[in-house]
Amino acid sequence: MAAAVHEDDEGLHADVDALADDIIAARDAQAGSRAAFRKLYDGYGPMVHAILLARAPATDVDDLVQEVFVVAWRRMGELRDAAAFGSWVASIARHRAVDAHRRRRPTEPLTEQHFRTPTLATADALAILQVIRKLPDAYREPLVMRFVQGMTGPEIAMRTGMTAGSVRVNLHRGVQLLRTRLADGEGSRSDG
Amino acid sequence: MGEDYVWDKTGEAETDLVALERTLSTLRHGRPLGELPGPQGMAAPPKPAWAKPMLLGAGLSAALTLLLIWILLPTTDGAKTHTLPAPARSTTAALQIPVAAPPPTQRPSARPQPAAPTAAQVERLTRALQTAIAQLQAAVVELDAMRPDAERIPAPAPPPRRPAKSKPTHKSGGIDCILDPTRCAVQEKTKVKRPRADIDCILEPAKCAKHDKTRTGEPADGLPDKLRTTDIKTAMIKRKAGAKACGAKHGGLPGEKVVVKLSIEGATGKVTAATATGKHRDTPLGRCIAAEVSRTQFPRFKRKSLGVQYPFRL
Repeated sequence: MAAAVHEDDEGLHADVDALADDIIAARDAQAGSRAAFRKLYDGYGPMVHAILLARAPATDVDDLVQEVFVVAWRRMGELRDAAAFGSWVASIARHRAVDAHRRRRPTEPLTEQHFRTPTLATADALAILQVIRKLPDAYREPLVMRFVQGMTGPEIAMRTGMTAGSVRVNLHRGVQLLRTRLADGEGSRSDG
Repeated sequence: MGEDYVWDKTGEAETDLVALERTLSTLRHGRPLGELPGPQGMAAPPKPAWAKPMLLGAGLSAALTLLLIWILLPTTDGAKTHTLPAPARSTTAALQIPVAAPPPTQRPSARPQPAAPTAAQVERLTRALQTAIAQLQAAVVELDAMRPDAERIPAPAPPPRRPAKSKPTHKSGGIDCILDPTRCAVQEKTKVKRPRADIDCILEPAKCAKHDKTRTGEPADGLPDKLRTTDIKTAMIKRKAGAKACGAKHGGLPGEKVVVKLSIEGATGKVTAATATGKHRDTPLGRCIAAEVSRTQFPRFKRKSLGVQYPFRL
């Protein structure tokens, strides 16, 4: 038990250090440092990618990530609290995903699988992603961050600004629900 | 065990989760950041809060000074003749000293110093003031445009104008107020009334509905033909907590949508029938929410009944 607590403490210290680095990078980026902004991109890119992947068509996500960070770079002056960069850029990403969805709606006769020629593995991944997208909002993003981007729970909490408890509960319930849905046959490639 | 693995990748990994992770990792983020826009894309640090008010204050005081000078200066059209009073002991007439020769085209100014501004002067004054204000606004816009991220931060939008048809006196209301305070008082009265109504609308939408009715010319005591969306929303919002409680009781997922179809009787505003639709039809959750909705009291309306579909997000 004590060892577990010790491990948690170490993890906590690592997270605090990473957050402190991010705050410094955000401040430097606000002062115009491109290098600092690139560092933020390296840290928060996966989170933004996950948020977009949970909402927007997979084929558009890479471009949308770039758009989100260009918008963030332009608006760095508006960021009042450097410690809130994660939640701030996440909200930009969510708005961007909604915009992308609106833009596509009238001219979307084909599904995303038609636009790329997926490998077998990618097709499976896209099919599972479709199932994740049908889960409640609260579970989608943490699941994609955890299983697509490979982020850990504490990292998700640190990047998104959510409490560790919320992330843990959402991941746990999300995995349970995802298992049920996958067991019910959703997500098989024949479903589309 | 599996929970720890999901949380921080420690503990024993379950095979299905590992497989899931491996499959989904093909969609992982990997593209480096592209070219960032130049420094012109960066937002400038916000201007100090005092900058704009100070600029406006300076402009206004300049305009007022100009106005005072314009009023106090003697008229320049026509020749001026300053009449010096005759010495006390002198028996001769007052000494006339011509200051400037009258231009040939204009009539010689024999009139004394005008006591009140003429209509033409007032008009000129009005124009001068309007020009000064327009220049000031342009200066403010220009100042904002000097920010490096001009494309991002829009220039301050002009204050929303009411259509000229509805309030023609507003165009030069400020000047009119100065020149004729009685007109100003009338405008103030009308100005005060509308915001009060709007605030009432926000605080109590039921009042708003009444206000809207009178505005559209409908008799205040008459009933509307049917319910408007705002009436429905206002009434249904009170059921939201109950619907959420149903979700918690019957295993509804957070964010899940339950659509309820209901029929409202116009004469009483009561719900005569309510059923959940789609996959929640005839489920405990759907029945619970439908029962909750049945308790809703809507405003009365002329039609016999009205059918509504309302989605609840748990």
